Amino acid sequence: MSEQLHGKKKLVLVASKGTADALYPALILATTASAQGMPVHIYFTFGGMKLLTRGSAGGIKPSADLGLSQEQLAGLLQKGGMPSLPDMLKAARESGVKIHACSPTMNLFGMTEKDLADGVCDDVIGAATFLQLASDPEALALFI
Amino acid sequence: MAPDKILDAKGLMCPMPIMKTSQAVRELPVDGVLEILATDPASKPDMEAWCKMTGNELLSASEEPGTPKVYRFTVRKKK
Repeated sequence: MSEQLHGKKKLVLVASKGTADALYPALILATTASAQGMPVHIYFTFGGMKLLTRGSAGGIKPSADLGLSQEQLAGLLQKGGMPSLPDMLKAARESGVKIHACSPTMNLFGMTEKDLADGVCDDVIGAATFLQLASDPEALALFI
Repeated sequence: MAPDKILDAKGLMCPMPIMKTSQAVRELPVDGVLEILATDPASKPDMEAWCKMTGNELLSASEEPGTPKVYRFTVRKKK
Protein backbone atom coordinates (compact mmCIF):
# COMPACT_ATOMS: atom_id res chain seq x y z
CA MET A 1 0.00 0.00 0.00
CA SER A 2 1.12 3.55 -0.74
CA GLU A 3 2.21 5.50 2.33
CA GLN A 4 0.57 8.64 1.03
CA LEU A 5 -2.94 9.45 2.19
CA HIS A 6 -5.24 10.49 -0.62
CA GLY A 7 -7.61 13.41 -0.51
CA LYS A 8 -10.92 11.55 -0.26
CA LYS A 9 -12.36 12.19 3.17
CA LYS A 10 -16.03 11.33 2.74
CA LEU A 11 -17.78 8.20 1.44
CA VAL A 12 -20.99 8.37 -0.59
CA LEU A 13 -22.62 5.08 -1.60
CA VAL A 14 -25.58 4.20 -3.78
CA ALA A 15 -27.16 0.94 -2.59
CA SER A 16 -29.30 -0.02 -5.57
CA LYS A 17 -29.81 -3.77 -5.20
CA GLY A 18 -32.06 -5.59 -2.78
CA THR A 19 -29.89 -8.68 -2.33
CA ALA A 20 -27.75 -9.67 0.64
CA ASP A 21 -24.60 -9.88 -1.48
CA ALA A 22 -25.05 -6.24 -2.56
CA LEU A 23 -26.24 -4.78 0.75
CA TYR A 24 -23.58 -6.40 2.97
CA PRO A 25 -20.65 -4.94 0.98
CA ALA A 26 -22.31 -1.50 1.08
CA LEU A 27 -22.79 -1.69 4.85
CA ILE A 28 -19.31 -3.16 5.44
CA LEU A 29 -17.70 -0.27 3.55
CA ALA A 30 -19.94 2.26 5.29
CA THR A 31 -19.30 1.03 8.84
CA THR A 32 -15.56 0.69 8.20
CA ALA A 33 -15.30 4.18 6.72
CA SER A 34 -17.21 5.52 9.69
CA ALA A 35 -14.82 3.69 12.05
CA GLN A 36 -11.98 5.42 10.17
CA GLY A 37 -13.50 8.80 10.92
CA MET A 38 -15.03 9.52 7.50
CA PRO A 39 -18.51 11.04 7.16
CA VAL A 40 -20.61 8.49 5.23
CA HIS A 41 -23.85 8.74 3.28
CA ILE A 42 -25.80 5.83 1.76
CA TYR A 43 -28.49 6.58 -0.80
CA PHE A 44 -30.83 3.59 -0.95
CA THR A 45 -32.64 3.30 -4.27
CA PHE A 46 -34.70 0.75 -6.23
CA GLY A 47 -34.06 -2.76 -4.80
CA GLY A 48 -31.87 -1.35 -2.04
CA MET A 49 -34.97 0.29 -0.57
CA LYS A 50 -36.09 -3.16 0.67
CA LEU A 51 -33.73 -2.73 3.61
CA LEU A 52 -35.59 0.42 4.67
CA THR A 53 -39.10 -0.90 4.02
CA ARG A 54 -41.28 -2.07 6.86
CA GLY A 55 -41.77 -5.83 6.75
CA SER A 56 -39.27 -6.63 3.99
CA ALA A 57 -35.86 -5.99 5.62
CA GLY A 58 -35.80 -9.38 7.35
CA GLY A 59 -36.44 -11.38 4.16
CA ILE A 60 -33.55 -10.15 2.01
CA LYS A 61 -32.00 -13.04 0.07
CA PRO A 62 -28.67 -13.49 -1.69
CA SER A 63 -28.73 -13.23 -5.49
CA ALA A 64 -28.50 -16.36 -7.66
CA ASP A 65 -25.03 -15.14 -8.64
CA LEU A 66 -23.71 -15.87 -5.12
CA GLY A 67 -24.69 -19.55 -5.39
CA LEU A 68 -25.73 -19.84 -1.75
CA SER A 69 -29.16 -20.17 -0.15
CA GLN A 70 -30.33 -17.62 2.38
CA GLU A 71 -29.77 -20.19 5.16
CA GLN A 72 -26.26 -21.09 3.96
CA LEU A 73 -25.24 -17.43 3.82
CA ALA A 74 -26.80 -16.72 7.22
CA GLY A 75 -24.83 -19.63 8.70
CA LEU A 76 -21.53 -18.38 7.28
CA LEU A 77 -22.18 -14.81 8.42
CA GLN A 78 -23.10 -15.94 11.90
CA LYS A 79 -19.89 -17.96 12.12
CA GLY A 80 -17.93 -14.80 11.33
CA GLY A 81 -19.74 -12.74 13.97
CA MET A 82 -21.51 -10.65 11.33
CA PRO A 83 -24.81 -9.06 12.40
CA SER A 84 -28.02 -9.36 10.34
CA LEU A 85 -28.64 -6.69 7.68
CA PRO A 86 -31.13 -4.73 9.85
CA ASP A 87 -28.63 -4.84 12.75
CA MET A 88 -25.77 -3.74 10.46
CA LEU A 89 -27.93 -0.84 9.32
CA LYS A 90 -28.63 0.05 12.95
CA ALA A 91 -24.91 -0.13 13.80
CA ALA A 92 -24.14 2.07 10.79
CA ARG A 93 -26.66 4.70 11.90
CA GLU A 94 -25.38 4.58 15.48
CA SER A 95 -21.85 5.20 14.22
CA GLY A 96 -23.07 8.31 12.37
CA VAL A 97 -23.71 7.01 8.83
CA LYS A 98 -26.44 9.09 7.16
CA ILE A 99 -29.15 6.99 5.53
CA HIS A 100 -31.15 8.50 2.68
CA ALA A 101 -34.26 6.96 1.14
CA CYS A 102 -34.92 7.56 -2.56
CA SER A 103 -38.03 9.55 -3.31
CA PRO A 104 -38.41 8.47 -6.98
CA THR A 105 -38.36 4.81 -5.85
CA MET A 106 -41.03 5.57 -3.27
CA ASN A 107 -43.18 7.32 -5.90
CA LEU A 108 -42.70 4.46 -8.33
CA PHE A 109 -43.86 1.84 -5.84
CA GLY A 110 -46.56 4.01 -4.27
CA MET A 111 -44.78 4.16 -0.92
CA THR A 112 -45.10 6.86 1.70
CA GLU A 113 -42.91 7.59 4.71
CA LYS A 114 -45.28 5.33 6.70
CA ASP A 115 -43.97 2.36 4.70
CA LEU A 116 -40.42 2.97 5.94
CA ALA A 117 -39.40 0.97 9.02
CA ASP A 118 -39.14 3.04 12.21
CA GLY A 119 -35.93 4.98 12.67
CA VAL A 120 -34.07 3.50 9.70
CA CYS A 121 -33.36 6.63 7.70
CA ASP A 122 -32.44 10.27 8.16
CA ASP A 123 -34.45 11.66 5.26
CA VAL A 124 -36.06 11.10 1.86
CA ILE A 125 -34.13 12.72 -0.99
CA GLY A 126 -34.12 12.75 -4.78
CA ALA A 127 -31.39 12.49 -7.39
CA ALA A 128 -30.51 16.20 -7.23
CA THR A 129 -29.72 16.07 -3.51
CA PHE A 130 -27.72 12.88 -3.97
CA LEU A 131 -25.68 14.46 -6.77
CA GLN A 132 -25.02 17.46 -4.55
CA LEU A 133 -23.70 15.13 -1.80
CA ALA A 134 -21.54 13.30 -4.32
CA SER A 135 -20.21 16.47 -6.00
CA ASP A 136 -17.93 17.23 -3.05
CA PRO A 137 -14.37 16.86 -4.45
CA GLU A 138 -13.41 15.12 -1.20
CA ALA A 139 -16.16 12.51 -1.68
CA LEU A 140 -15.46 8.99 -2.82
CA ALA A 141 -18.72 7.93 -4.51
CA LEU A 142 -19.49 4.30 -5.31
CA PHE A 143 -22.48 2.57 -6.91
CA ILE A 144 -23.20 -0.85 -5.42
CA MET B 1 3.82 -2.44 28.53
CA ALA B 2 0.49 -3.54 29.98
CA PRO B 3 -2.49 -2.40 27.88
CA ASP B 4 -5.31 -0.41 29.49
CA LYS B 5 -7.86 -2.61 27.78
CA ILE B 6 -7.92 -5.84 25.77
CA LEU B 7 -10.29 -6.45 22.86
CA ASP B 8 -10.79 -10.07 21.87
CA ALA B 9 -11.99 -10.00 18.25
CA LYS B 10 -10.96 -13.57 17.47
CA GLY B 11 -13.38 -15.37 15.15
CA LEU B 12 -14.90 -12.13 13.89
CA MET B 13 -14.75 -11.28 10.20
CA CYS B 14 -14.18 -7.92 8.55
CA PRO B 15 -15.44 -5.29 9.39
CA MET B 16 -16.23 -6.29 12.99
CA PRO B 17 -12.64 -6.19 14.39
CA ILE B 18 -12.14 -2.65 13.06
CA MET B 19 -15.58 -1.49 14.22
CA LYS B 20 -14.95 -2.88 17.70
CA THR B 21 -11.44 -1.38 17.76
CA SER B 22 -12.89 2.00 16.86
CA GLN B 23 -15.49 1.73 19.66
CA ALA B 24 -12.94 0.54 22.21
CA VAL B 25 -10.44 3.30 21.36
CA ARG B 26 -13.21 5.90 21.64
CA GLU B 27 -13.75 4.82 25.25
CA LEU B 28 -10.03 5.13 26.14
CA PRO B 29 -8.41 8.33 27.41
CA VAL B 30 -5.78 9.98 25.17
CA ASP B 31 -2.50 7.99 25.41
CA GLY B 32 -4.46 4.92 26.53
CA VAL B 33 -3.29 1.62 25.02
CA LEU B 34 -5.59 -1.02 23.55
CA GLU B 35 -4.52 -4.58 22.80
CA ILE B 36 -6.47 -6.32 20.03
CA LEU B 37 -6.54 -10.03 19.26
CA ALA B 38 -7.95 -11.02 15.88
CA THR B 39 -8.01 -13.94 13.47
CA ASP B 40 -9.34 -12.23 10.33
CA PRO B 41 -6.64 -12.84 7.69
CA ALA B 42 -6.69 -9.16 6.64
CA SER B 43 -6.14 -7.97 10.23
CA LYS B 44 -2.62 -6.63 9.71
CA PRO B 45 -3.15 -4.42 6.63
CA ASP B 46 -6.57 -3.36 7.96
CA MET B 47 -5.24 -2.35 11.37
CA GLU B 48 -2.34 -0.46 9.74
CA ALA B 49 -4.79 1.35 7.44
CA TRP B 50 -7.18 2.16 10.27
CA CYS B 51 -4.36 3.63 12.38
CA LYS B 52 -3.08 5.67 9.44
CA MET B 53 -6.55 7.02 8.60
CA THR B 54 -7.47 7.88 12.20
CA GLY B 55 -4.06 9.11 13.36
CA ASN B 56 -3.76 6.56 16.17
CA GLU B 57 -0.40 4.89 16.73
CA LEU B 58 0.19 1.22 16.00
CA LEU B 59 2.74 0.34 18.69
CA SER B 60 3.16 -3.32 17.81
CA ALA B 61 1.86 -6.02 15.52
CA SER B 62 2.70 -9.68 15.91
CA GLU B 63 1.40 -13.06 14.80
CA GLU B 64 1.09 -16.26 16.73
CA PRO B 65 1.16 -19.44 14.67
CA GLY B 66 -1.85 -21.71 14.89
CA THR B 67 -5.03 -22.57 13.09
CA PRO B 68 -6.25 -19.97 12.67
CA LYS B 69 -3.31 -17.64 13.07
CA VAL B 70 -3.83 -15.10 15.87
CA TYR B 71 -2.80 -11.49 15.27
CA ARG B 72 -1.97 -9.32 18.28
CA PHE B 73 -1.83 -5.53 18.04
CA THR B 74 -1.30 -2.70 20.47
CA VAL B 75 -2.63 0.73 19.57
CA ARG B 76 -2.10 4.02 21.41
CA LYS B 77 -4.91 6.56 21.26
CA LYS B 78 -3.44 9.83 19.98
CA LYS B 79 -6.37 12.25 20.10
